[in-house]
Amino acid sequence: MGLIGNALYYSFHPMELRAIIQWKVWHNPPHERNEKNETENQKICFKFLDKTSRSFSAVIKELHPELLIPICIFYLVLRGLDTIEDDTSIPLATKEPLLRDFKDILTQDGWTFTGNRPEEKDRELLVQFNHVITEFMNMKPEYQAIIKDITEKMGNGMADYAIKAENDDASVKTKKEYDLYCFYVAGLVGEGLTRLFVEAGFGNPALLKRPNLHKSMGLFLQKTNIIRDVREDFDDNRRFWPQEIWSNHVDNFEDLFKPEHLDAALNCSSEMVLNALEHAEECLFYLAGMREQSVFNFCAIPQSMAIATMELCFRNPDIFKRNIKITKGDACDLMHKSTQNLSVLCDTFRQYTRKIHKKNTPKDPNFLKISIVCGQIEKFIETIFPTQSADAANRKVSGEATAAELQRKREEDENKKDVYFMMALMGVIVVVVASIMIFAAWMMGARFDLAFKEITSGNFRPPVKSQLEHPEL
Amino acid sequence: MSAKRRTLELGNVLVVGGCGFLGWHIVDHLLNFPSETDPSYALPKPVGDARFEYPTLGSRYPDYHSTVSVVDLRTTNNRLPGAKYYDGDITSVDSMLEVFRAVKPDLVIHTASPSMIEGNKPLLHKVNVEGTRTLLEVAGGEHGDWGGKCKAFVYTSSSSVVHDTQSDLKNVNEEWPYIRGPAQKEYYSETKADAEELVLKYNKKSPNEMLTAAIRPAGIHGEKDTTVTHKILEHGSQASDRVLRMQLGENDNLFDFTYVGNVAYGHLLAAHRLLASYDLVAAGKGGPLDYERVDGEAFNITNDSPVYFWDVTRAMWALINRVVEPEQVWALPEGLLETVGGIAETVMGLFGKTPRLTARTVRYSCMTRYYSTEKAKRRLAYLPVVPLDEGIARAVGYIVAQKQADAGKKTL
Repeated sequence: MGLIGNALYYSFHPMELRAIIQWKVWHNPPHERNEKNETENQKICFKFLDKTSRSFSAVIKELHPELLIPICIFYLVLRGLDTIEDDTSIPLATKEPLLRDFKDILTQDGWTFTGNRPEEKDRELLVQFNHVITEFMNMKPEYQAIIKDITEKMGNGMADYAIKAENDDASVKTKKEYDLYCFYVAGLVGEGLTRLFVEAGFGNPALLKRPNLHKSMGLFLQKTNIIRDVREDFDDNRRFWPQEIWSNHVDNFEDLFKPEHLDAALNCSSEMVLNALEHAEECLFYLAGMREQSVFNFCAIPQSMAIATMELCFRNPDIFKRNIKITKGDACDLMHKSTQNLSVLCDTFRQYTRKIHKKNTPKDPNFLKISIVCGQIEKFIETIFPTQSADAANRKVSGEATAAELQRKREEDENKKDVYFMMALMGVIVVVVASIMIFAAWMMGARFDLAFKEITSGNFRPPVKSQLEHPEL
Repeated sequence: MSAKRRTLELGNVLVVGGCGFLGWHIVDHLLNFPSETDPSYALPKPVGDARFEYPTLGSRYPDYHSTVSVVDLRTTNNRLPGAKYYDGDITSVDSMLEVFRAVKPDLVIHTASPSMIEGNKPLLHKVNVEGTRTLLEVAGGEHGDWGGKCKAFVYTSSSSVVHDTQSDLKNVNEEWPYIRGPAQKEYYSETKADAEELVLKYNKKSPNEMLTAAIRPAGIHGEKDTTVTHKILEHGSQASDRVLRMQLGENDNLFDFTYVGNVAYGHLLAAHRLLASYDLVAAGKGGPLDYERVDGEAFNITNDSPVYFWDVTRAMWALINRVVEPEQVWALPEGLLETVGGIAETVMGLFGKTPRLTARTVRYSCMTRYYSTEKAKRRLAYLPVVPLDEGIARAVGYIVAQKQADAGKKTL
């Protein structure tokens, strides 16, 4: 869209423009990166962060200084790993040991890799990976250990997957396999981040005892991407939708993209959304464990974007035709709402949950199941932010008033008093002004005595001028 | 679904009202589902339709060990093989004593109540309040020895005891107060509250120190349901497309519906805990701790899946192939409808009739009404075994198949 196109679009979508302006003008980052104190090497790492990630770089850069470098490096390490895995030009014999040993590479000073094909988009990161390694070695040993551990788990997971892809069919069969795949690509990141948050004192340590919570955080995001990108992945010859789900609706995966199977495809996509929405409750639960604003923002923004994307994809035939995205205005609005507190975020979740529910159709075999999962999200929000209480109900029955009600009553009484006072004041002003006017009129010779006499005898109108009766000709 | 099923020992059980809707299901549970194992007692269900295929109940609910007797006003209908049936009237001491002498129960499950719709005020009071009192006193041994000692008494209350049938209820637990007197617009709920209070206060008070508990189901449905499901399907099959598309309110209101089998399960879990507590105390090992106590307590039992009110009705209609798509819905604002309903009621009231649309039905379909089952989950280890969507399919399937069978009979 050019400038004119944009102008036209936003003149019909003023709310979106408003959200964008609000975000640009009013968003106050909890922390800002201080470039002056950064080393040359750190600056290079941030440059790579900007290059490799579109969505994450902004939120990472607003993180608390304690975690700014560790999370930036964590991201770059995983991106490096990903760049090796994605490259189909690297033979398995080279790829497998690289993936499995990547954790040791992190401590090999000066390691770089030039084996990627030229068209690999993040090739340069590995060519200059020595900068990442330098920064990794400068970090606290506790953070190093966490990142190393996750790198090992993920590297092994990727290697296993690569072997499976080489030897037989790597398509995802069961829902369990689907969850496992999502766990390797996203759930593990969630684990690493959670451990970093807790280590830094920014997350409730109880989060570590409930691994299903951070697992859900990762799975919710990954599943959203998989639903949204179905067409793009299909064109790249990748399919992540599990057979256990699509086979309920179509005979062949390709049928999802054929117009004659649209109804089945939509039902299939809604079963995918249902499967993803089952994580939403645990995501909110997880976010309740965040103890620092920048970390909360960092986690909440992708989650709210995910539920909005889910709403956009739900029963939308376009997902089978092209890549769809939430609008920039909506994105700004979501970012604004994700950088306040859990209560505002929950309202956003509820709002999108209801939008999904409103699109749910009884002809879908999972109609009621989707309604149930939406209800569950709403009920969960009610449990963390209750709007009713047994105490209030008991007091209502016993007729007692609460402190808050008493306070309200007092305020109402005060307001009433204020209103009466204002009315009295107005009355006084009217009387004073009227007296001054009457006095002025009298000084100028007004004959109130005559006027009064006329009125008492019933003549409310001034006498008609006689000259009108005898017009001069 | 657990691989290994639990066993619940319940001893000699008397199910009061065991030929009613819920009572029948409790008996079916206690007898380990003759409705599934004995073809001559099988419930009708549509064949060859995948929407009505579901796993058996027997494979998911516990294995019950018990001797089952039933007392009801009339026991000719809704019988199951393996239970003994007695005709009796809970409002009569003599009638109850006779049954107790014959059965000598360890456990009484009291489900008898006139339905909310058919019951007139004197009848509701007589059966729900006086009948429950009589039954308690007979079971407790106050009207003389009947040759045994009843250890436990479980009462079917109603989640409506804390509801004025007007306000919204969100995730309400058992600490909410009873609504009675002028605030209670539904006399049925008032009598259920009175009876529940009687039952809970009677805990450990009788000569035989019988333990008591109450179960409060919400929006109960399932096979043999003659109220909720029946009414929704009646509208669904008779209304024109245009009428079917009408929706009262915004449909953002969450509502609890509970499958009858889960309600039966809740009763039996509570009964099992009461019996265990009784035996502990009798063996001199002391009672349960306060936070795990079941005796003298009431429990909400729901499917723990509140859903948007109109979604349930539309899901039911879809099962009889009347689909209302979201874009076809014509949502009528509640405020307007309440006025219309009110006027309709007044005008038609002059002719002694009740309109289909009343202010009360409008509010009922626009209100939020769901409960917390945390207490039952914690203290009874309750879980809604049959999910809501299956429960709805079971309820609808039963009526659909029954209608088909009736139609078959007519053509013969």
